[in-house]
Amino acid sequence: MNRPYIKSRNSIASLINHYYIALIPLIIYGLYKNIFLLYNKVSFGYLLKPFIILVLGLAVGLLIEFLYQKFYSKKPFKKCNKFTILNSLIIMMVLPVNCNYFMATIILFLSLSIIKFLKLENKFNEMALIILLLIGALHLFKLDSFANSYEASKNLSLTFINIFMGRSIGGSFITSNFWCLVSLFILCHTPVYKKEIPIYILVTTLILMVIFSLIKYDYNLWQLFFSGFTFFGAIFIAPDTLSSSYTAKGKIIYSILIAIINFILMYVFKIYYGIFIAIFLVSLASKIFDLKFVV
Amino acid sequence: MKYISLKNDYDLKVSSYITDLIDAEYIYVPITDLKTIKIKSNDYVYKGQELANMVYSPVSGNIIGLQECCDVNNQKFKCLVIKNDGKERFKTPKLNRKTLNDYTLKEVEDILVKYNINILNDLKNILVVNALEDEIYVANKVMLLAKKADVILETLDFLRKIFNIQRVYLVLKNNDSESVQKIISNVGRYPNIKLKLVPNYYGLEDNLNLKNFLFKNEKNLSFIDVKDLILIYNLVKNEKITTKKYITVSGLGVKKPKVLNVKIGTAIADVLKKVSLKKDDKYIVIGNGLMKGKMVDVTKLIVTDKLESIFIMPRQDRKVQPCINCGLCYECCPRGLNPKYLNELKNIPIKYQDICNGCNLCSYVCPANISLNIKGDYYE
Repeated sequence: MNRPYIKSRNSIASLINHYYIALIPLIIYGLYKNIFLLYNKVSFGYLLKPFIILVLGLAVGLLIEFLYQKFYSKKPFKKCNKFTILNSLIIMMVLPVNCNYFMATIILFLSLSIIKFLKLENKFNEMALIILLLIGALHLFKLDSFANSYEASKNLSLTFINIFMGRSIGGSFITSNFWCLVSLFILCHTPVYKKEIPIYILVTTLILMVIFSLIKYDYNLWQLFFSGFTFFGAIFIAPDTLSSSYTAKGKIIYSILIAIINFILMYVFKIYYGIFIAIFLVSLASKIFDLKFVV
Repeated sequence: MKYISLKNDYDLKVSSYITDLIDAEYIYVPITDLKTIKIKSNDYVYKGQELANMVYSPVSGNIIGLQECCDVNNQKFKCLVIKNDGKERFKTPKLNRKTLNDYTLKEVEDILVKYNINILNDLKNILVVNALEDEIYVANKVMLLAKKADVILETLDFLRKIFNIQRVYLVLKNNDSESVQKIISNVGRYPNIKLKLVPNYYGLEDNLNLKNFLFKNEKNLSFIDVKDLILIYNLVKNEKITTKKYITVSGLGVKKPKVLNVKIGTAIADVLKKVSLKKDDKYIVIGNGLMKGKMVDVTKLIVTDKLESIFIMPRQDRKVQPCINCGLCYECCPRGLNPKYLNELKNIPIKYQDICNGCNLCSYVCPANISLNIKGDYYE
């Protein structure tokens, strides 16, 4: 054992707290958008949906963490890391308001539990994988829709500012690029957060967008970029501490590869959730990027 | 590399005056080779008298015998115990009327060879005096600069002249207002000594780190410590060996943190009797600072050249968590090492252990409280 008596103020708890604080603007905007902006045009049951998503996210995370501590790690629940609860909440925030909550909860619980109990968190980006599983499963059984009728009718008349501020169709709490950037600003205040990763991803994607737009302008491509998935994925999912690269050069390669794959998926296949595929694929190799740059 | 300033979490400011503690009843002189001892039990020894090969008495008094002691690194060794008579008698008092500038290079070299001092063996065109102190709450160098600024500058200028050094720099921390003020008020007389101020970053006390931070492109560079300048001054001017040193005694268990001027060889137990301590069993004693220091047993500990500070702090219970792969240790390492990766290896290659200077910054920044330092054992 060789550690100093004094200690910096960096802690895992502070990182998790920063994440929760950074999610607050997105949650408030998500509630505002899904309740006040859209409620008048839909049924009363719609009012509760955004809340249900948040509660389910927190409840699934809490339940898994509780079961893990009780039967596996045997540590007091108060002293455990709360990454699972945070990750569960983040995953649920990506889902559309119009989805089958029962199926989403079951998939989230099973997949998160398997990853947690088999200790696979640092092998790949668990959030990206579970989001892909959820989107895939809900889409397969046609149990999701990213838009209600009112949202869909307004979509074509949205201005750039509308889209940037989060009015476009997308996940329940992730459509606002502006509030995502505010979250990034909040997260940058903790040194434990890998701020270089979202910055490199967003800048590289933007550069690619500009270059390809100069060749051939495509409005849909810009709409995909500002749909919220890219910003939210880059800021909250890609810098996941366990599965992302940690060396300076490793972080550059990790981020640029994510940006390139995401751009290809958006440009060629018009996939709005391409960022999650990119993050998952690149996270599988993130350790290799780090090992390449060990002194 | 990311430079870090340590957070000042405790109110442990030392008082601005130095407390002398040079009259300890017993002085313990470490002897590495017992066969070379030149005196017997009950002999009277004078200050500066050779007790064994290259070992000189720091006080005058009677030899009591041999006793086992230990240093701050918990290394045990035999010590000659001298009952200090407090008179500081020299066998042949030396009256020196020469000033430092009257000495020639040959005379200086002869004195240094006589006392086996090799600090000046490899001087280059540029000489940098590293007056930085990394350890937070330790004020030995600050006090040394404040009290002996004139001696330090005079010796430095003298070395510049006799060794024909082209440039001389004195490096200080920019938040160290007392030292900076004292040096600035004296440095006017020595136009060839340049003052360099650096931010309060941790790790710059290490010469290699300082070189990388301040003199990256300079090649003919040599470093010297302020304490070595005082040593050279005493040896050349007065032909006296250093028998005293400053140590900081501080911590939450000390009522008034202060810098003490103590005789080398004083038992720490005697030092602690002279400072007012808070009575509590929960306190532990940490030797050599809160960053690089480690817990020590004060019963056999004596003041040696290696000891810089004593901290009395409450016991801590810090929970270690699994690594979260944040990379802060790698980002902050002043030597560019990857502590996370090295700690995952079963056997850490010696070349990495040689590169690591044991600054403990990796463990300091770790959010999971993991001990990442690959060099030595520290506070446990």
